Amino acid sequence: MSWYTLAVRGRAAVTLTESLIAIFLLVGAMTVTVILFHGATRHTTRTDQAVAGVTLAEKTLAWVRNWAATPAGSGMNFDDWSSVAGSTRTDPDYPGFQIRIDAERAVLASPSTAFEDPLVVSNPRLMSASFYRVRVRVSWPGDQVELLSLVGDPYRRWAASGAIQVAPGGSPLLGPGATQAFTASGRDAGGRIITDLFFDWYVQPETSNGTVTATSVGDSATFTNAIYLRLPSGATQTRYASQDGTCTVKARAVYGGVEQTSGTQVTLDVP
Amino acid sequence: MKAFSLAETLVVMLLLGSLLAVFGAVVGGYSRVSRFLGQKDNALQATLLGLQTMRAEAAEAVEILDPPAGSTTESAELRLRKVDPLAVDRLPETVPPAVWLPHRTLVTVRYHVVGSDLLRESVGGTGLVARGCSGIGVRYAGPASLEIFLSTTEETRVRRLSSQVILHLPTRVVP
Repeated sequence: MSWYTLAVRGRAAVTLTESLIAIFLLVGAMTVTVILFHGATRHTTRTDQAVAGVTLAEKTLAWVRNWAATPAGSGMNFDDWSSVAGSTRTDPDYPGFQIRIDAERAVLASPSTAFEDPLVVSNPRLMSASFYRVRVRVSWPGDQVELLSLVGDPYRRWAASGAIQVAPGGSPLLGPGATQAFTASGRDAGGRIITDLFFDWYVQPETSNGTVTATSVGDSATFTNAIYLRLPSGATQTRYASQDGTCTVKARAVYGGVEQTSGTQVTLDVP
Repeated sequence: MKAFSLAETLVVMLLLGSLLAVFGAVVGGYSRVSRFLGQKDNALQATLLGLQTMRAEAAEAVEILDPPAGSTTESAELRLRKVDPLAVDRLPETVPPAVWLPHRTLVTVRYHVVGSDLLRESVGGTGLVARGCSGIGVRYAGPASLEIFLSTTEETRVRRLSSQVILHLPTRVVP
């Protein structure tokens, strides 16, 4: 006997209680569906917040770079991070988001380290004052995102004159085998010392000649009134100038693609 | 055991109907919210893409035509000149070069918004960069930096995103 027949005859069918139970089951299923909808919407919102957070962090990082390259006094903002490092900010375009900026000095090796390696393997050329490691943390209720990047010292033009200064000047007089220490520094258009310049030293012979050796970074060098010859046997022979004469000890540096050279003359005495 | 009476049937139908009505309203609401969030997400992605594209090209610029240098007002377009990537005459003819003019052959690029489209206009024609942008603004944020704004409309709310870019103009690097 079919269900329809039973229902029509009133002997077997769904009772009110059974219907209510069915409705409750239906309500349960609908509730689960609503929860899923709600979860999807919540995750979409969270994704949207995360995208907005990353965008805000990138925007802040771009602002930091621009801030660092903005002139301040005779230098640039890059010279003094005290107003930015450790600061918190908000952006009116991103309500509910909190920004924190942290900055610390970063020490990097010269970009040409591999090329220079045979010369400076024990004392690599390091740049200790040209970079800041900047961390931008954007937080909002429930989550946060961090961006980490290096911000470099902005380009400053060479000083129009006296861009490189070699000290001491004044043509020192050196006897055979005597040494003289020199230092070199570069200055920008504002008269400030350009940090982390690498200097290459050489001797420009005139009526005499000598030898100069420099530190790996090249900020200081030592000139010796002697010539060291490498013999075929591998031994080194020391020779001194045979007559009084002069030569110039020079330091050279490249900055922003522009090379500058400066030197000081030394007078060599015969034995 | 007997089947529903008329009253019982009506009660069940009323309950079921109410339930379905509430459920339909909730689903309809979620559908609207979901559609809104989708549009908002698309508009946001389009705006970010537009900002990123303009920032990258502005950083390559040899000269900014609009906004004009020194201007403090906001321009409704970004117009710049950059090295023509297809021109080979920027390469030195001899080594070392007697005269080297790497910026000899330039192209002009223009970004502007028409309707809801961010367009890039150059010698090759006009191309669509992003769809869903309702406005553009460009102004100098510093002597050698630009701030670029892109707006997107989320139903009745206008959302404006911005980003700064440092210019590497040759006149700035090599006086």
